[in-house]
Amino acid sequence: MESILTSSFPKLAAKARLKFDKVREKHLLLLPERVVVLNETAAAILTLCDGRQTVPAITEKMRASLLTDTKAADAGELPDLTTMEADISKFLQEMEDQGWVVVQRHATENNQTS
Amino acid sequence: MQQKITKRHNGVQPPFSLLAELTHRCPLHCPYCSNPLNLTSKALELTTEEWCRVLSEAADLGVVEVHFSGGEPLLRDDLEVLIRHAHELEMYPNLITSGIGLSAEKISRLKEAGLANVQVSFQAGEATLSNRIGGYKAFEKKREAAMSVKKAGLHLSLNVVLHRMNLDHLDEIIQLAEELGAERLELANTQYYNWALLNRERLLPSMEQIERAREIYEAAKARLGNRMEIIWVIPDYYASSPKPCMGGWGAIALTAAPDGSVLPCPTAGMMKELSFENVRESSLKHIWYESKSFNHFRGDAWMPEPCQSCKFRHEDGGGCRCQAYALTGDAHAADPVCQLAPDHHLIKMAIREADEGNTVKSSALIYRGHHARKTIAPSK
Ligand code: SF4
Ligand code: SF4
Repeated sequence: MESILTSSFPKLAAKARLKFDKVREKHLLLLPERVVVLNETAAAILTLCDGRQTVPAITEKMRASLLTDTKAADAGELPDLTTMEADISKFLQEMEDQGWVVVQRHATENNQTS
Repeated sequence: MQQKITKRHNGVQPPFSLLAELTHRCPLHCPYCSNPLNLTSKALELTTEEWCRVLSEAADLGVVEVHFSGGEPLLRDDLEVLIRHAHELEMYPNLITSGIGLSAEKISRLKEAGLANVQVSFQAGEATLSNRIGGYKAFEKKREAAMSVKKAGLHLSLNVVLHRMNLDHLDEIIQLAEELGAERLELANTQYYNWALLNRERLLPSMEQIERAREIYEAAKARLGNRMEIIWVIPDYYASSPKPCMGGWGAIALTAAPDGSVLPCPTAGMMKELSFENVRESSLKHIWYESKSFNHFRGDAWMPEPCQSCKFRHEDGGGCRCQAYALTGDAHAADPVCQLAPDHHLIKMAIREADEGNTVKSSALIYRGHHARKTIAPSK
């Protein structure tokens, strides 16, 4: 599935902060007047939203880390790259609608890694 | 782990946020100020070391957001130190300010210390009315402060308390927020405690005013989409059901007052029948989980009728305890805003007077005082 997000660089909004909360053992997204409890996957994706990598790059990294976490026998059950990218795009689109992620057309300057 | 927390503390979960009221001192004199009538004087304020300890204890307890407020928190010269400390503890520091004292240089220092969000209050959308309500020539300074926040690249929220004197000028307020590039605008209809209750006759709007304003709010919300988030805090005297205490009594948030007393909400300090513990004597953890005051209205065993047998009791928790206390003198009563409450006539009477507008001329506006009112004895 082609998405407008494919060639852009998602970045966590300036007002938002990610935190792993040791007390609750949960990933949190901290916003003005609001705290969102995240699941592992959402937290992993948002951590990669640094404004320097594209959605395909984020997808590759997510898949790579899933592969390391998953036993070789279960690896076949992982969704393919295209499905994963579509899911991640959809999630990021929702995050953008909420104003928690900003989708940039260009990579954040300096220290460009991908 | 979730279960461990539950078992250990009898079902009480850790709090998410701390409202740190650093001082009651403020250059403004808003007649609806939610600070107590008996303002804490500077000499009784917690020291920097004490606030740092409170922040550390809050982080250990599970607090992840700190709202630095007052009074005017910028009057504390340790604000930067406290923001930095909260930031280092990985909590989200939010500044709630009148904007007075927030220069471009100050805001960049606070940002560097880790400040994440700034909420600036306005009294109205233009200078004359704004200055009259705040009892201080503040409007231009507030505008400059808001612009500095934007220039520093920080998220800007505006908060405007709505009442009889400014509700008819809501369009100007929304326009101001747009001009300043605010990301969020909170339209907070006055809640009647403390100074606001003292001035209720002058502040409570008529039903007609509310209806007109609500239409303006709804049109603006539709027009602005997600360019600016607009929040309408319902005028609870005109609501059909009472509002629950913010997330529940001792459920998600706590307030530390300038003198170190710890409250379930900013206005609870007025309840004379409860005594609130102080961080100078007890740990925040003890206060949250074990103190009498925090446990008093948790759950529903304390509820009187008609709440006890009402099917809405888990939704609204019997309404606001502070409101019950302020209007009936009994913090256990059903919130008089509720149509089923035995004291609902108190609300109906206030509304009738507001609709007729016949008390407006007879009572003068009482501005919030400068300093602690020495004539009133301390609450404990
Ligand atoms: S409501 Fe007005 S007087 Fe009260 S603390 Fe805020 S700015 Fe100051
Ligand atoms: S009777 Fe009590 S529980 Fe029922 S709606 Fe009214 S305030 Fe809420």
